[in-house]
Amino acid sequence: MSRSTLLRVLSLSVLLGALFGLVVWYGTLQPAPGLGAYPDNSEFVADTEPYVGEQVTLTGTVVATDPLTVAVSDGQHTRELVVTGVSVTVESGETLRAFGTLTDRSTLRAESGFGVPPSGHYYAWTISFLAGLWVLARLVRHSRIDRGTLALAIREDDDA
Amino acid sequence: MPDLLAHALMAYSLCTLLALRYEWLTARYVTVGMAGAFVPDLTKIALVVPAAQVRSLLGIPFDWGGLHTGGAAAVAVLVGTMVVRPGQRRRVTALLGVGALSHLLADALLLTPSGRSYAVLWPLTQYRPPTPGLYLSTSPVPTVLTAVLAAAVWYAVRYRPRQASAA
Repeated sequence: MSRSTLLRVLSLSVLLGALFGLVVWYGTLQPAPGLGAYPDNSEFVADTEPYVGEQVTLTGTVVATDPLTVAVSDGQHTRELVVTGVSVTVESGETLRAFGTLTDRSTLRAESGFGVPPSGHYYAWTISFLAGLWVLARLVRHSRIDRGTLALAIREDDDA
Repeated sequence: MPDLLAHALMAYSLCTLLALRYEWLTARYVTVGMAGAFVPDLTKIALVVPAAQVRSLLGIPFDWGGLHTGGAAAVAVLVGTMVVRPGQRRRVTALLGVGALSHLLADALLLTPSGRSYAVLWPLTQYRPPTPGLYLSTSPVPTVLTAVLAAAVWYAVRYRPRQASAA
């Protein structure tokens, strides 16, 4: 392995390690309402009690509309909460995104909230996937792998 | 902004306009800028590998959301820098940066229930600036607008009057 390749592998390892470190560090962050970082599902779903009386951001699937009830999850635990004070109409199956105060362990008094229909997510995923394919196709056409160094090279006019 | 197509179209327009100023910025480099627009959405790995799974598997704190921040985007751009061959690195860094930055700025305008966006400048600060809430990430409207803009830019650059000399 040449010196420059070794240096490249080394710096890539350091950079990827730094990215991993950032993702772990971000995971240790506590909510900071003063900075606009309100507690969300990942905090209050597992243990709601400490957050009663606090402002939180909630994301949940609407399971009933009278009263408005959502299933909230943090990826491991799932529970149901009643949400009051949402002025817009939301339907079962939609994703509710709301901000408000937990008045007790199973009720959120919302100050604002809106529903996102499932079709919205399907639309975003499909169109994003297509965009990925488009840019990937452009990258394949506009660059090549340099055989000697395994580096990506943007094609220049004199490239075949 | 909303979906990746809108982000890619936005980066396309920006880089194509920059190409008017920088002669080396060919369509091939515009593609690099478009790839840069994908960088902050590396956070969407979460849809495939939920953070909760990683946490329980490794037994350490973990949140993919950290990738959707200014600091992580800068590091990810440098990863791109080191992937390309020497001699093109400065250009590639600049264009990946333009793409990533346009993505981060557009996302800072997304509608959220709390009225606060995301930790744009993390790890410098956890502060989430207020967002005007211009659009939802699931709305096709920004995509249509960015597509119209991209088409207009493409047309204007393609058919702009040629300068007679480089004077």
